[in-house]
Amino acid sequence: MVALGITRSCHLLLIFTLVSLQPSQSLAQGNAIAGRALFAEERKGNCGACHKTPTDASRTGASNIGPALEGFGQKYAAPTDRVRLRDSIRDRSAANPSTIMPPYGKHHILTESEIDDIVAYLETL
Amino acid sequence: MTSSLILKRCRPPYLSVTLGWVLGVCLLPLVSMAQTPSTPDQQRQSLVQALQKRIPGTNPADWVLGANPAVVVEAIPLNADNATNSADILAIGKKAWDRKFKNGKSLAICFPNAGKRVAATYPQFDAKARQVVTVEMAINKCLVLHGEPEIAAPNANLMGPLSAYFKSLSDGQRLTVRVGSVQAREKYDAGLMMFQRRIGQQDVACASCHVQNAGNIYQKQGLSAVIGQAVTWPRLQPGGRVIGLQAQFQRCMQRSGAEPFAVGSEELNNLEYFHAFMSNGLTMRALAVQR
Repeated sequence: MVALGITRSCHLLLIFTLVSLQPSQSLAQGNAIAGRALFAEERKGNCGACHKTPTDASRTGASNIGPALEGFGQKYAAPTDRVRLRDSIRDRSAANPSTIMPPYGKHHILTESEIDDIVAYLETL
Repeated sequence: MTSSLILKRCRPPYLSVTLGWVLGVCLLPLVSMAQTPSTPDQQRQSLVQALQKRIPGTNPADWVLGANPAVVVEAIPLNADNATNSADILAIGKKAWDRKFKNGKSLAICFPNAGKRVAATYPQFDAKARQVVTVEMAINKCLVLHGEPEIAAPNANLMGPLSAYFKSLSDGQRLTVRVGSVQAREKYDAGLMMFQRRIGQQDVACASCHVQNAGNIYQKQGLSAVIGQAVTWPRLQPGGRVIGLQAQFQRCMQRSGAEPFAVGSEELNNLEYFHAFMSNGLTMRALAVQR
């Protein structure tokens, strides 16, 4: 009985640990309009500082540290891709330690819901 | 949100990283200069090669006015702003340089050859004081030695033009910063580490922009390469304000979401020591860049 209790506790602990280690799985629907504002705000997303955005008229003079963001809606259309996109915004360094992209979620530059909003906006591009 | 809030929020733990964490996590993805027992000259050479791979067909002398003239030139030619030009600033600096102390002497007395061709050798390592001495510190040391009040480091209104004039006395000279002892090397290495250390809420290092992404465009402006940066400081800003190199270091740190070290602090002095060494051999051009 005691052994069974311990085993059950271990299972619960294992499940809890695995859940804790999972990357962000949230697929909460964000607000694209709010996301657009956060995307541009210098002290929040400031995404145009590093990425060419659809509002940049030409590639010449557009920021080119990160990939251009046009077509992100199609590129990350699948739910798994969307999770990947969200995780990249949250902490890109987890997948690419040499990245220059700020860890928006990990360092609390954006809240989790603000990340959802930006993802929602990126889906419109 | 005010910048002070950002800084306050970012103080811990981002700047209080341990050395082991820095070595183990932060530096590996960046340039690997600190991981080989090479000399500063060899490290500089390997950095030149790395930057030439990033910006093909260019040489260190090309990077002085901006890393990638083919894309966007970071530097604006001098005198684009009609309000103030370098001559005005240098005249202010010369006046302060020539000002007689109460004892009848002036700043020129403290430097060989009355200061001509001297600033090109700064920062220097002072073996007695066991610290890096910048141009601004040398000026203040002279003032104090002759019973004059020192100029507060952030006082750009006076120290900016004064250091610009002192540096202009070396215009045309090649920058020759020396790292000539084990103790000096320690300071250089500390500066290198600071250059490579990821800091702040944005989690970036100096090297992230000025090595890894030199020549790329950030916020519509080309990112300059670390090599070539040191020879044009101080800089004249639109409106006539002179900004020193360490004040620019502070700006970068603030932009990274970190609380900056003070101008004249050991951390920024060491960083300036490493940073200047990387531009060794390039021609001094004080106030050559306005931005």
